[in-house]
Amino acid sequence: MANSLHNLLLGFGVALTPENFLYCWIGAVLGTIVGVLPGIGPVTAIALLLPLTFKMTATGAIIMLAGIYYGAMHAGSTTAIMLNMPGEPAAIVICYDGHPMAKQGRAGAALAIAAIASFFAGCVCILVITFFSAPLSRAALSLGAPEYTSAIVLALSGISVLSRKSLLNTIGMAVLGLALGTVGTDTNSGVVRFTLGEMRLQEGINFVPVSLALFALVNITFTLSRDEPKMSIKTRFRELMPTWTDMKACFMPMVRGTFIGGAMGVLPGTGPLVASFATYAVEKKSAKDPSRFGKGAIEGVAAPEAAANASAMTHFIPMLSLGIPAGAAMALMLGALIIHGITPGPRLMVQQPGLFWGLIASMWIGNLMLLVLNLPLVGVWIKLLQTPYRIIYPVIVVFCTIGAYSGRNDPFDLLVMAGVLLIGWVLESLDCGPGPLIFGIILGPMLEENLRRSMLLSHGDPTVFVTRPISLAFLVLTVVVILLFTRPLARKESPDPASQYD
Amino acid sequence: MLIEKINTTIKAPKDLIAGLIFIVIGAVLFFASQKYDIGSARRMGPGYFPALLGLLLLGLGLAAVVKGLRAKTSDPLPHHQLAPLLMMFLSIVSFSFFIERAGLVIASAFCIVFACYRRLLTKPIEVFFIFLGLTVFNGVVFIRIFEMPIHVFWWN
Repeated sequence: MANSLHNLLLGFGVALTPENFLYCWIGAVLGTIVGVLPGIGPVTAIALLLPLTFKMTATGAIIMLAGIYYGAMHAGSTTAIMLNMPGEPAAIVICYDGHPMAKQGRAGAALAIAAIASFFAGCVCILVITFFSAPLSRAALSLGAPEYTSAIVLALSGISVLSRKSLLNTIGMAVLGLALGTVGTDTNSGVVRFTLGEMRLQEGINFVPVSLALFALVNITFTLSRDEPKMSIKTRFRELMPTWTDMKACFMPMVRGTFIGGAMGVLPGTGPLVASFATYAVEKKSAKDPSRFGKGAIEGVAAPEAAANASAMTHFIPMLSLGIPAGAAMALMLGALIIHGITPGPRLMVQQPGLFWGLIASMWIGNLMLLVLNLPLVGVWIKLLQTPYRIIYPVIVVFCTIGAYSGRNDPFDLLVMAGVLLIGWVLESLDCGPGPLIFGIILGPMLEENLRRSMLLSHGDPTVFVTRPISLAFLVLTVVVILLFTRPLARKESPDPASQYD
Repeated sequence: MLIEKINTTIKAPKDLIAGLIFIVIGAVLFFASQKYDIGSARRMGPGYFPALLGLLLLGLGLAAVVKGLRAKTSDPLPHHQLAPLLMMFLSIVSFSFFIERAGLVIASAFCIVFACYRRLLTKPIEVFFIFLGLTVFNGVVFIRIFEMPIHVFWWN
């Protein structure tokens, strides 16, 4: 314990140098802007800024990139609440209750609670990282291929079930996503699948244009087809602070969200997105009056926001302790470290204490900065978002276009984005949620890999998933989650559509 | 129109149509993956997982179709205009066409013109300023600061 504190002091020494402090600040501000603007997410921003970091020290680079990441996490809920457009995918859940709250004139309270929940979760999880990095990654090492397979199945089911739309259709989207993930070179056999001769698909369908299309462009298209896009929300600033009842109601959800999110963030694949959905489900199920959710329940903002930020923080653990990225953004940061000549792995803590603890110390600093950026300065962001929609959306379209193009400097990715726009438009009109599709694309290769390895290990015996205890636990959870959420749908005889949990 | 006709004949068209789409994609996927070595459960070939997914999608599609036909509550298809979709599509495609042939300025121009199609006649000046502001911003931020290899004009 004393050792960790000593290291932390060392870290602060590194993080508080003017140079690193500046990088932290830039990261936090950029992250907030990126998080607030739909169409550009932290992954895109990190990808875009990566080349800049070549000229910085490794420590400075990772401090800034990390700042962008959790800054975007904090801020993604702002557009979710104000415009019903998530700033980045993990904020989708915040739309469900945050936007109704804004429509009821309580945008200020929602935004404030989101900022407070983020700060709380961030602080708690930085403590967790500080004291538990080593033992936690040792525990994660005991997970084998069957456990990973079941975990991914759980994640996919969870995200399908928690969508507001038709369950069957949404699971279909998840499977479709998995199928799209198979396009490209199969890493196991080297066989190139389903590319129809198109060379640029050999590395698979780049998920960045897909996600930009599904989450930003389709939304804009739907909004444009309504006659009067009235997207500016009037907030009365007297209502900026949540009431005391609000705070009391949010405390336990915040704690639960932090706990669930923190745990899920450590597992690769399950990150802020899954964590926020899972927490929302738990809150809804354990609430005294579940019908409040979806209409402006403040717990529906506090808990997922806490979970998303908690998992964003603990997301760093596998990368820092094991050298395994837990998500796309982490993979990029890993790349940045490698370019600087540092190979992350279990020895990072020992070989580069300045970098490791400097990063953690900068997280504390960044978290504090973000509280300032998101609370008192939230007025600035609201003003920014109160520009009439008809001026905002072309900006988003152009950013999406450049964002998709800049990934590989290939116009083909733009055509992918355009194609997904069409398909996504059709599918969303049919009540198929887009979230699971992205999930499927990203997790597909991992699922296939682990499924294959599990079968190899067990010599083709499928019972391996239920004979190993942790894997069984995940699968049981999957069944539980599905059953819990399809029961209301089974009562389709009731003529009142409002009684559906949607 | 077509949507009205569908809405009056079928009560839950969303499930039905989505189901049909899934059935078609699932079947196509299943048959397309026969091209690759399927292997066995123990040694999965490149075709195994896609074939499995294809079957799964097929099954889900069938379930959705059944659910759609048996539905008791009405859940009609939404009426969405097609024009915004077409314009957005053209906006992106035109950008992709022009960015390497004519540079950022021209490509952005097309992109914005299509995206703001409704205002071209009513508020052209506003559109122009959006174009100007965005292009300058993008030029400075992405090309100067981030040093991305994007042509500004066709002669760069």
